[in-house]
Amino acid sequence: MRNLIATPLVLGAALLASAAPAYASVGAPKATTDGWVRLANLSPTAGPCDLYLYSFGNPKALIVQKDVIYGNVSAYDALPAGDYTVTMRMTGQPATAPAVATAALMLMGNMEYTVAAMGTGAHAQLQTIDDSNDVAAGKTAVRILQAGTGTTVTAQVGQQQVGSDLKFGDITHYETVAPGTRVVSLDTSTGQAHTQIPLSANSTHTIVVLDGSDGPRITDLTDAVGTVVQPTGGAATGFGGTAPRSASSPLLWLAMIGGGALAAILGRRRHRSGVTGTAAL
Amino acid sequence: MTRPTWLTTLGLAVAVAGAAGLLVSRASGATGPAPARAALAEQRILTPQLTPGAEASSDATPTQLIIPAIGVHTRLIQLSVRPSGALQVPDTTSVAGWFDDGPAPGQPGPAVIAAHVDSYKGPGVFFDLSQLRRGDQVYVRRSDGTVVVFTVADVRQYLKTAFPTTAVYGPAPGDQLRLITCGGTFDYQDRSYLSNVVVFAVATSGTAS
Repeated sequence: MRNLIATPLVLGAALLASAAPAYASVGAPKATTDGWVRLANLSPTAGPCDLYLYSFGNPKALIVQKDVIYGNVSAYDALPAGDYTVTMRMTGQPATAPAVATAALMLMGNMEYTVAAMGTGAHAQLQTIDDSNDVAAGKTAVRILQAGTGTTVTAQVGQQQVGSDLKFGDITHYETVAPGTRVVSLDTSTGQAHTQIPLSANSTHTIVVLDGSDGPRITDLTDAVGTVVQPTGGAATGFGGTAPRSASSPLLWLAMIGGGALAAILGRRRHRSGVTGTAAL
Repeated sequence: MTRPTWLTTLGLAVAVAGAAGLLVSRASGATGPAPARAALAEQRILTPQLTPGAEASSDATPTQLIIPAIGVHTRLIQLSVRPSGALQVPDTTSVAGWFDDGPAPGQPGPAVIAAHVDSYKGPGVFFDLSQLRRGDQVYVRRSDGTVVVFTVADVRQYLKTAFPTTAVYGPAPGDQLRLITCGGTFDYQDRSYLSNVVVFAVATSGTAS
Protein backbone atom coordinates (compact mmCIF):
# COMPACT_ATOMS: atom_id res chain seq x y z
CA MET A 1 0.00 0.00 0.00
CA ARG A 2 2.78 2.38 0.95
CA ASN A 3 4.45 1.64 -2.37
CA LEU A 4 1.29 2.56 -4.23
CA ILE A 5 1.53 6.07 -2.79
CA ALA A 6 5.27 6.42 -2.72
CA THR A 7 5.94 5.31 -6.29
CA PRO A 8 3.84 8.01 -7.95
CA LEU A 9 5.35 10.59 -5.61
CA VAL A 10 8.89 9.64 -6.58
CA LEU A 11 7.94 9.52 -10.26
CA GLY A 12 6.24 12.90 -9.99
CA ALA A 13 9.28 14.44 -8.37
CA ALA A 14 11.49 12.92 -11.07
CA LEU A 15 9.30 14.30 -13.84
CA LEU A 16 9.30 17.75 -12.29
CA ALA A 17 13.07 17.70 -12.01
CA SER A 18 13.51 16.69 -15.65
CA ALA A 19 10.86 19.05 -17.05
CA ALA A 20 11.78 22.26 -15.26
CA PRO A 21 15.07 23.00 -17.08
CA ALA A 22 13.44 22.27 -20.48
CA TYR A 23 10.72 24.85 -19.95
CA ALA A 24 13.15 27.38 -18.51
CA SER A 25 14.99 27.53 -21.82
CA VAL A 26 11.81 28.33 -23.76
CA GLY A 27 11.11 32.00 -24.39
CA ALA A 28 7.64 33.00 -23.24
CA PRO A 29 5.42 33.70 -26.24
CA LYS A 30 4.03 37.22 -26.59
CA ALA A 31 0.71 38.02 -28.16
CA THR A 32 0.66 39.48 -31.66
CA THR A 33 -1.43 42.58 -31.30
CA ASP A 34 -0.78 44.43 -34.54
CA GLY A 35 -3.49 45.22 -37.04
CA TRP A 36 -3.15 46.96 -40.39
CA VAL A 37 -4.55 50.13 -41.88
CA ARG A 38 -4.18 52.05 -45.14
CA LEU A 39 -5.57 55.49 -45.94
CA ALA A 40 -7.20 56.48 -49.22
CA ASN A 41 -8.98 59.26 -51.03
CA LEU A 42 -11.82 57.70 -53.04
CA SER A 43 -14.04 60.76 -53.25
CA PRO A 44 -14.33 62.03 -56.84
CA THR A 45 -15.46 65.47 -55.70
CA ALA A 46 -13.64 66.24 -52.43
CA GLY A 47 -10.32 67.24 -54.00
CA PRO A 48 -6.83 66.65 -52.64
CA CYS A 49 -6.80 66.11 -48.88
CA ASP A 50 -4.50 65.40 -45.95
CA LEU A 51 -5.31 62.33 -43.87
CA TYR A 52 -4.21 62.10 -40.22
CA LEU A 53 -4.32 59.05 -37.99
CA TYR A 54 -4.22 59.53 -34.20
CA SER A 55 -4.18 57.13 -31.32
CA PHE A 56 -7.53 57.89 -29.66
CA GLY A 57 -7.23 60.92 -27.37
CA ASN A 58 -3.63 61.72 -28.36
CA PRO A 59 -3.28 64.97 -30.36
CA LYS A 60 0.04 63.91 -31.93
CA ALA A 61 -0.63 62.21 -35.26
CA LEU A 62 0.94 58.77 -35.75
CA ILE A 63 0.49 58.81 -39.54
CA VAL A 64 0.08 61.79 -41.87
CA GLN A 65 -0.62 61.37 -45.59
CA LYS A 66 -0.32 64.75 -47.31
CA ASP A 67 -1.90 65.81 -50.57
CA VAL A 68 -3.77 62.58 -51.22
CA ILE A 69 -5.49 62.92 -54.58
CA TYR A 70 -8.54 61.00 -55.76
CA GLY A 71 -7.65 57.36 -56.33
CA ASN A 72 -4.52 57.35 -54.14
CA VAL A 73 -4.23 54.60 -51.54
CA SER A 74 -1.34 54.32 -49.07
CA ALA A 75 0.53 51.12 -48.25
CA TYR A 76 -0.60 49.29 -45.13
CA ASP A 77 0.87 50.39 -41.81
CA ALA A 78 1.06 48.03 -38.84
CA LEU A 79 -0.36 49.42 -35.61
CA PRO A 80 -0.97 47.88 -32.20
CA ALA A 81 -4.60 46.89 -31.69
CA GLY A 82 -6.57 49.73 -30.13
CA ASP A 83 -8.76 52.76 -30.76
CA TYR A 84 -7.70 55.31 -33.34
CA THR A 85 -9.17 58.40 -34.98
CA VAL A 86 -8.69 59.34 -38.63
CA THR A 87 -9.35 62.92 -39.71
CA MET A 88 -9.46 64.55 -43.12
CA ARG A 89 -8.46 68.11 -43.91
CA MET A 90 -8.27 69.74 -47.30
CA THR A 91 -4.72 70.05 -48.59
CA GLY A 92 -3.25 73.36 -47.53
CA GLN A 93 -5.10 73.52 -44.24
CA PRO A 94 -2.92 73.37 -41.10
CA ALA A 95 -3.08 70.35 -38.82
CA THR A 96 -4.80 72.54 -36.25
CA ALA A 97 -7.68 73.40 -38.61
CA PRO A 98 -11.05 71.80 -37.92
CA ALA A 99 -11.42 68.46 -39.66
CA VAL A 100 -13.64 68.15 -42.72
CA ALA A 101 -14.47 64.60 -41.70
CA THR A 102 -13.58 62.23 -38.88
CA ALA A 103 -13.83 58.47 -38.49
CA ALA A 104 -13.26 56.20 -35.50
CA LEU A 105 -11.20 53.09 -36.12
CA MET A 106 -11.40 50.23 -33.64
CA LEU A 107 -8.38 48.30 -34.84
CA MET A 108 -8.25 44.61 -33.94
CA GLY A 109 -5.07 42.55 -33.95
CA ASN A 110 -4.45 40.56 -37.14
CA MET A 111 -7.23 42.46 -38.95
CA GLU A 112 -6.81 44.91 -41.83
CA TYR A 113 -8.71 48.05 -42.74
CA THR A 114 -8.96 50.80 -45.34
CA VAL A 115 -10.08 54.24 -44.14
CA ALA A 116 -11.16 56.17 -47.21
CA ALA A 117 -12.42 59.64 -47.95
CA MET A 118 -15.74 58.93 -49.66
CA GLY A 119 -18.86 60.88 -50.44
CA THR A 120 -19.88 62.92 -53.40
CA GLY A 121 -21.00 66.49 -53.71
CA ALA A 122 -20.23 68.84 -50.84
CA HIS A 123 -20.45 66.14 -48.18
CA ALA A 124 -17.07 64.50 -47.79
CA GLN A 125 -16.96 61.70 -45.28
CA LEU A 126 -14.49 59.11 -44.02
CA GLN A 127 -15.48 55.48 -44.23
CA THR A 128 -13.83 52.55 -42.46
CA ILE A 129 -13.81 49.42 -44.64
CA ASP A 130 -12.93 45.94 -43.37
CA ASP A 131 -10.41 44.27 -45.67
CA SER A 132 -9.84 40.52 -45.74
CA ASN A 133 -6.90 38.16 -46.10
CA ASP A 134 -9.19 35.13 -46.17
CA VAL A 135 -9.06 33.01 -49.32
CA ALA A 136 -9.40 29.32 -50.16
CA ALA A 137 -6.00 27.63 -50.62
CA GLY A 138 -4.64 28.10 -54.13
CA LYS A 139 -7.36 30.60 -55.08
CA THR A 140 -7.74 34.36 -55.37
CA ALA A 141 -10.47 36.43 -53.71
CA VAL A 142 -11.64 39.61 -55.46
CA ARG A 143 -14.19 42.29 -54.59
CA ILE A 144 -15.27 45.51 -56.30
CA LEU A 145 -15.33 48.93 -54.63
CA GLN A 146 -17.35 51.36 -56.73
CA ALA A 147 -15.85 54.84 -56.20
CA GLY A 148 -16.84 56.43 -59.52
CA THR A 149 -19.78 58.63 -60.42
CA GLY A 150 -21.04 56.11 -62.98
CA THR A 151 -24.28 54.36 -62.11
CA THR A 152 -25.30 50.76 -62.73
CA VAL A 153 -21.75 49.44 -62.84
CA THR A 154 -21.26 45.82 -63.81
CA ALA A 155 -17.84 44.26 -63.16
CA GLN A 156 -16.40 41.03 -64.55
CA VAL A 157 -13.18 39.26 -63.65
CA GLY A 158 -12.37 36.96 -66.55
CA GLN A 159 -15.72 35.40 -67.38
CA GLN A 160 -16.98 35.72 -63.81
CA GLN A 161 -19.36 38.53 -62.84
CA VAL A 162 -18.29 39.94 -59.48
CA GLY A 163 -20.72 42.87 -59.15
CA SER A 164 -23.75 44.29 -60.91
CA ASP A 165 -25.87 47.41 -60.66
CA LEU A 166 -23.26 48.97 -58.38
CA LYS A 167 -23.73 52.57 -57.28
CA PHE A 168 -21.14 54.94 -55.80
CA GLY A 169 -19.93 53.61 -52.46
CA ASP A 170 -21.04 50.02 -53.04
CA ILE A 171 -18.57 47.33 -51.99
CA THR A 172 -19.20 43.72 -53.03
CA HIS A 173 -18.33 40.64 -51.02
CA TYR A 174 -15.10 38.90 -51.93
CA GLU A 175 -15.65 36.36 -54.70
CA THR A 176 -13.36 33.39 -55.22
CA VAL A 177 -11.74 33.27 -58.67
CA ALA A 178 -9.06 31.10 -60.24
CA PRO A 179 -5.60 32.69 -60.08
CA GLY A 180 -3.88 33.96 -63.22
CA THR A 181 -3.75 37.12 -65.29
CA ARG A 182 -7.38 38.13 -65.77
CA VAL A 183 -9.12 40.80 -67.80
CA VAL A 184 -11.25 42.94 -65.52
CA SER A 185 -14.12 44.54 -67.46
CA LEU A 186 -16.43 47.36 -66.42
CA ASP A 187 -19.66 48.35 -68.03
CA THR A 188 -21.00 51.61 -66.59
CA SER A 189 -23.29 54.48 -67.49
CA THR A 190 -20.18 56.56 -68.22
CA GLY A 191 -18.51 54.02 -70.50
CA GLN A 192 -16.50 50.78 -70.45
CA ALA A 193 -13.04 49.81 -69.26
CA HIS A 194 -10.86 46.69 -69.61
CA THR A 195 -7.63 46.07 -67.74
CA GLN A 196 -5.38 43.02 -67.36
CA ILE A 197 -4.62 42.29 -63.71
CA PRO A 198 -2.27 39.54 -62.44
CA LEU A 199 -4.02 37.66 -59.63
CA SER A 200 -1.61 35.31 -57.84
CA ALA A 201 -2.73 32.26 -55.89
CA ASN A 202 -3.40 32.85 -52.19
CA SER A 203 -4.08 36.57 -52.53
CA THR A 204 -6.99 38.93 -51.93
CA HIS A 205 -7.74 42.07 -53.96
CA THR A 206 -10.00 45.10 -53.95
CA ILE A 207 -10.60 46.32 -57.48
CA VAL A 208 -11.55 49.99 -57.30
CA VAL A 209 -13.73 51.61 -59.94
CA LEU A 210 -12.70 55.25 -60.41
CA ASP A 211 -13.65 58.10 -62.69
CA GLY A 212 -11.06 58.48 -65.44
CA SER A 213 -10.53 61.38 -67.81
CA ASP A 214 -13.00 59.84 -70.23
CA GLY A 215 -15.03 57.08 -68.65
CA PRO A 216 -14.23 54.70 -65.83
CA ARG A 217 -10.80 53.38 -64.88
CA ILE A 218 -9.66 50.48 -62.72
CA THR A 219 -7.17 50.30 -59.85
CA ASP A 220 -6.13 46.97 -58.34
CA LEU A 221 -5.35 47.05 -54.62
CA THR A 222 -3.63 43.99 -53.16
CA ASP A 223 -5.24 43.45 -49.78
CA ALA A 224 -3.12 40.46 -48.79
CA VAL A 225 -0.82 37.97 -50.49
CA GLY A 226 0.70 34.71 -49.31
CA THR A 227 3.38 32.42 -50.65
CA VAL A 228 2.36 30.71 -53.91
CA VAL A 229 3.41 27.34 -52.48
CA GLN A 230 2.73 26.61 -48.82
CA PRO A 231 5.25 24.20 -47.29
CA THR A 232 3.75 21.62 -44.95
CA GLY A 233 4.68 21.47 -41.27
CA GLY A 234 7.69 23.03 -39.58
CA ALA A 235 11.29 23.43 -40.71
CA ALA A 236 14.14 21.03 -39.89
CA THR A 237 16.58 23.73 -38.86
CA GLY A 238 18.74 22.19 -36.17
CA PHE A 239 21.08 19.25 -35.52
CA GLY A 240 21.24 19.45 -31.72
CA GLY A 241 24.89 20.46 -31.29
CA THR A 242 23.93 23.06 -28.71
CA ALA A 243 21.02 21.19 -27.12
CA PRO A 244 21.30 20.38 -23.41
CA ARG A 245 22.95 16.98 -22.93
CA SER A 246 20.89 16.19 -19.84
CA ALA A 247 18.43 14.13 -21.78
CA SER A 248 19.31 11.16 -19.51
CA SER A 249 16.69 10.58 -16.86
CA PRO A 250 17.42 11.86 -13.36
CA LEU A 251 15.67 8.77 -11.98
CA LEU A 252 18.96 7.00 -11.27
CA TRP A 253 20.26 9.93 -9.23
CA LEU A 254 16.94 10.31 -7.40
CA ALA A 255 16.91 6.56 -6.65
CA MET A 256 20.44 6.86 -5.24
CA ILE A 257 19.38 9.75 -3.00
CA GLY A 258 16.26 7.94 -1.82
CA GLY A 259 17.94 4.57 -1.38
CA GLY A 260 20.92 6.06 0.38
CA ALA A 261 18.75 8.08 2.75
CA LEU A 262 16.66 5.00 3.51
CA ALA A 263 19.76 2.94 4.23
CA ALA A 264 21.12 5.68 6.45
CA ILE A 265 17.88 5.90 8.43
CA LEU A 266 17.64 2.12 8.82
CA GLY A 267 21.26 1.96 9.92
CA ARG A 268 20.72 4.69 12.47
CA ARG A 269 17.62 3.00 13.90
CA ARG A 270 19.39 -0.34 14.29
CA HIS A 271 22.38 1.36 15.86
CA ARG A 272 20.11 3.09 18.40
CA SER A 273 18.17 -0.07 19.25
CA GLY A 274 21.49 -1.90 19.78
CA VAL A 275 22.74 0.77 22.23
CA THR A 276 19.46 0.76 24.21
CA GLY A 277 19.59 -3.04 24.54
CA THR A 278 23.09 -3.00 25.98
CA ALA A 279 22.13 -0.40 28.59
CA ALA A 280 19.19 -2.50 29.77
CA LEU A 281 21.45 -5.38 30.44
CA MET B 1 32.38 -0.12 13.42
CA THR B 2 29.11 -2.02 13.96
CA ARG B 3 27.02 -3.10 11.02
CA PRO B 4 24.24 -0.44 11.52
CA THR B 5 26.79 2.42 11.70
CA TRP B 6 28.45 1.13 8.59
CA LEU B 7 25.05 1.03 6.84
CA THR B 8 24.32 4.64 7.87
CA THR B 9 27.65 5.85 6.50
CA LEU B 10 27.26 3.96 3.26
CA GLY B 11 23.66 5.18 2.88
CA LEU B 12 24.68 8.79 3.42
CA ALA B 13 27.54 8.42 0.94
CA VAL B 14 25.22 6.99 -1.72
CA ALA B 15 22.67 9.76 -1.12
CA VAL B 16 25.34 12.47 -1.37
CA ALA B 17 26.73 10.89 -4.54
CA GLY B 18 23.21 10.81 -6.00
CA ALA B 19 22.62 14.48 -5.18
CA ALA B 20 25.98 15.42 -6.69
CA GLY B 21 25.22 13.40 -9.82
CA LEU B 22 21.85 15.09 -10.20
CA LEU B 23 23.35 18.55 -9.76
CA VAL B 24 26.17 17.92 -12.24
CA SER B 25 23.83 16.44 -14.88
CA ARG B 26 21.43 19.40 -14.63
CA ALA B 27 24.15 22.04 -14.57
CA SER B 28 26.06 20.71 -17.57
CA GLY B 29 22.90 20.81 -19.65
CA ALA B 30 22.09 24.37 -18.70
CA THR B 31 25.51 25.81 -19.44
CA GLY B 32 26.10 24.09 -22.78
CA PRO B 33 25.63 27.00 -25.18
CA ALA B 34 27.46 29.61 -23.08
CA PRO B 35 30.81 29.68 -24.99
CA ALA B 36 28.98 30.18 -28.29
CA ARG B 37 27.15 33.25 -26.97
CA ALA B 38 30.44 34.81 -25.95
CA ALA B 39 31.84 34.18 -29.42
CA LEU B 40 28.85 35.85 -31.05
CA ALA B 41 29.12 38.88 -28.81
CA GLU B 42 32.65 39.50 -30.08
CA GLN B 43 31.43 39.94 -33.65
CA ARG B 44 30.87 43.49 -34.82
CA ILE B 45 27.93 43.74 -37.15
CA LEU B 46 27.58 47.10 -38.80
CA THR B 47 24.16 48.55 -39.40
CA PRO B 48 23.71 49.39 -43.10
CA GLN B 49 23.67 53.08 -43.93
CA LEU B 50 20.17 54.09 -44.91
CA THR B 51 19.34 56.38 -47.78
CA PRO B 52 15.56 56.75 -47.68
CA GLY B 53 13.82 56.98 -50.99
CA ALA B 54 16.00 54.57 -52.96
CA GLU B 55 13.79 52.71 -55.42
CA ALA B 56 14.18 48.96 -55.73
CA SER B 57 13.56 47.07 -58.94
CA SER B 58 10.63 44.70 -58.64
CA ASP B 59 12.61 41.60 -59.66
CA ALA B 60 15.46 42.17 -57.18
CA THR B 61 16.35 39.04 -55.19
CA PRO B 62 17.62 39.03 -51.60
CA THR B 63 21.36 38.46 -51.23
CA GLN B 64 22.28 39.23 -47.61
CA LEU B 65 20.63 39.19 -44.19
CA ILE B 66 21.90 41.48 -41.44
CA ILE B 67 20.52 41.43 -37.86
CA PRO B 68 22.79 43.61 -35.67
CA ALA B 69 20.95 42.78 -32.41
CA ILE B 70 22.06 39.13 -32.55
CA GLY B 71 25.24 39.43 -34.62
CA VAL B 72 23.88 37.90 -37.84
CA HIS B 73 25.52 38.81 -41.14
CA THR B 74 25.05 36.13 -43.75
CA ARG B 75 24.52 35.66 -47.44
CA LEU B 76 21.20 34.27 -48.59
CA ILE B 77 20.67 31.22 -50.78
CA GLN B 78 17.40 30.21 -52.45
CA LEU B 79 15.14 27.59 -50.88
CA SER B 80 12.23 25.65 -52.33
CA VAL B 81 10.13 22.80 -50.95
CA ARG B 82 11.31 19.23 -50.44
CA PRO B 83 9.57 16.37 -52.26
CA SER B 84 7.80 15.68 -48.95
CA GLY B 85 6.24 19.14 -49.12
CA ALA B 86 8.26 20.49 -46.19
CA LEU B 87 10.34 23.64 -46.42
CA GLN B 88 13.81 23.01 -47.84
CA VAL B 89 16.55 24.20 -45.49
CA PRO B 90 20.18 25.19 -46.21
CA ASP B 91 22.67 22.30 -46.48
CA THR B 92 25.07 24.20 -44.28
CA THR B 93 24.43 25.81 -40.91
CA SER B 94 26.45 28.93 -41.76
CA VAL B 95 24.07 30.54 -44.28
CA ALA B 96 20.38 31.46 -44.32
CA GLY B 97 18.01 30.74 -47.17
CA TRP B 98 15.12 32.60 -48.74
CA PHE B 99 11.98 30.68 -49.77
CA ASP B 100 11.64 31.66 -53.44
CA ASP B 101 8.13 30.23 -53.96
CA GLY B 102 6.91 33.25 -52.01
CA PRO B 103 7.36 37.02 -52.09
CA ALA B 104 10.89 38.42 -52.05
CA PRO B 105 11.69 40.62 -49.05
CA GLY B 106 10.29 44.07 -49.81
CA GLN B 107 7.39 42.77 -51.90
CA PRO B 108 3.84 42.50 -50.51
CA GLY B 109 3.20 39.40 -48.43
CA PRO B 110 5.30 37.19 -46.18
CA ALA B 111 8.90 36.75 -47.30
CA VAL B 112 10.31 33.67 -45.52
CA ILE B 113 13.94 33.17 -44.47
CA ALA B 114 15.10 30.01 -42.68
CA ALA B 115 18.43 29.00 -41.14
CA HIS B 116 19.76 26.46 -38.67
CA VAL B 117 19.96 27.10 -34.95
CA ASP B 118 22.91 24.72 -34.66
CA SER B 119 24.99 22.01 -36.32
CA TYR B 120 26.14 18.71 -34.77
CA LYS B 121 29.02 20.60 -33.19
CA GLY B 122 27.91 24.12 -32.31
CA PRO B 123 25.83 27.20 -33.07
CA GLY B 124 24.28 27.87 -36.47
CA VAL B 125 23.60 31.25 -38.05
CA PHE B 126 20.20 31.59 -36.29
CA PHE B 127 21.47 30.40 -32.90
CA ASP B 128 20.27 33.57 -31.13
CA LEU B 129 17.09 34.14 -33.17
CA SER B 130 14.84 33.59 -30.14
CA GLN B 131 16.66 36.47 -28.41
CA LEU B 132 15.17 39.02 -30.83
CA ARG B 133 12.59 41.35 -29.33
CA ARG B 134 9.81 43.54 -30.70
CA GLY B 135 11.38 46.68 -32.16
CA ASP B 136 14.70 45.07 -33.21
CA GLN B 137 15.67 45.80 -36.81
CA VAL B 138 16.40 43.33 -39.59
CA TYR B 139 18.05 44.32 -42.88
CA VAL B 140 17.86 42.47 -46.18
CA ARG B 141 20.23 43.56 -48.94
CA ARG B 142 19.03 42.83 -52.48
CA SER B 143 20.62 42.13 -55.81
CA ASP B 144 20.04 45.72 -56.97
CA GLY B 145 21.97 47.06 -53.96
CA THR B 146 18.92 48.30 -52.06
CA VAL B 147 18.29 47.34 -48.45
CA VAL B 148 14.84 46.60 -47.05
CA VAL B 149 14.43 47.44 -43.38
CA PHE B 150 12.12 45.34 -41.23
CA THR B 151 11.10 45.82 -37.61
CA VAL B 152 10.43 42.80 -35.42
CA ALA B 153 6.77 42.66 -34.38
CA ASP B 154 6.70 39.34 -32.58
CA VAL B 155 8.84 36.34 -31.61
CA ARG B 156 7.08 33.04 -31.07
CA GLN B 157 7.79 29.38 -30.57
CA TYR B 158 5.54 26.62 -31.86
CA LEU B 159 5.63 22.84 -31.62
CA LYS B 160 6.39 21.50 -35.11
CA THR B 161 3.31 19.31 -34.77
CA ALA B 162 1.25 22.51 -34.43
CA PHE B 163 3.13 24.70 -36.90
CA PRO B 164 0.97 27.76 -37.87
CA THR B 165 1.18 27.37 -41.65
CA THR B 166 -1.43 30.05 -42.39
CA ALA B 167 0.09 32.64 -40.04
CA VAL B 168 3.55 32.08 -41.53
CA TYR B 169 2.86 31.49 -45.24
CA GLY B 170 -0.75 32.62 -45.66
CA PRO B 171 -2.04 35.87 -47.17
CA ALA B 172 -0.82 38.92 -45.24
CA PRO B 173 -1.10 42.67 -45.81
CA GLY B 174 1.94 44.85 -46.37
CA ASP B 175 5.58 43.86 -46.83
CA GLN B 176 6.41 41.33 -44.15
CA LEU B 177 9.21 38.98 -43.16
CA ARG B 178 9.30 35.66 -41.32
CA LEU B 179 12.52 34.26 -39.86
CA ILE B 180 12.42 30.57 -38.96
CA THR B 181 14.74 28.31 -36.99
CA CYS B 182 14.50 25.43 -34.54
CA GLY B 183 13.93 25.69 -30.80
CA GLY B 184 12.63 23.99 -27.71
CA THR B 185 13.57 20.50 -26.62
CA PHE B 186 15.90 18.39 -28.76
CA ASP B 187 14.67 14.85 -29.34
CA TYR B 188 17.83 12.73 -29.32
CA GLN B 189 15.94 9.72 -30.69
CA ASP B 190 14.74 11.54 -33.81
CA ARG B 191 17.76 13.90 -33.93
CA SER B 192 15.34 16.79 -34.28
CA TYR B 193 14.12 19.79 -32.29
CA LEU B 194 10.46 19.56 -31.34
CA SER B 195 9.69 23.24 -31.98
CA ASN B 196 10.28 26.10 -34.40
CA VAL B 197 11.04 29.69 -33.43
CA VAL B 198 9.32 32.15 -35.79
CA VAL B 199 10.09 35.88 -35.90
CA PHE B 200 7.40 38.07 -37.47
CA ALA B 201 8.69 41.39 -38.87
CA VAL B 202 7.21 44.25 -40.85
CA ALA B 203 8.89 46.48 -43.46
CA THR B 204 9.55 49.80 -41.83
CA SER B 205 10.40 52.41 -44.41
CA GLY B 206 10.38 51.06 -47.92
CA THR B 207 13.91 50.69 -49.18
CA ALA B 208 17.32 52.10 -48.43
CA SER B 209 20.81 51.56 -49.77
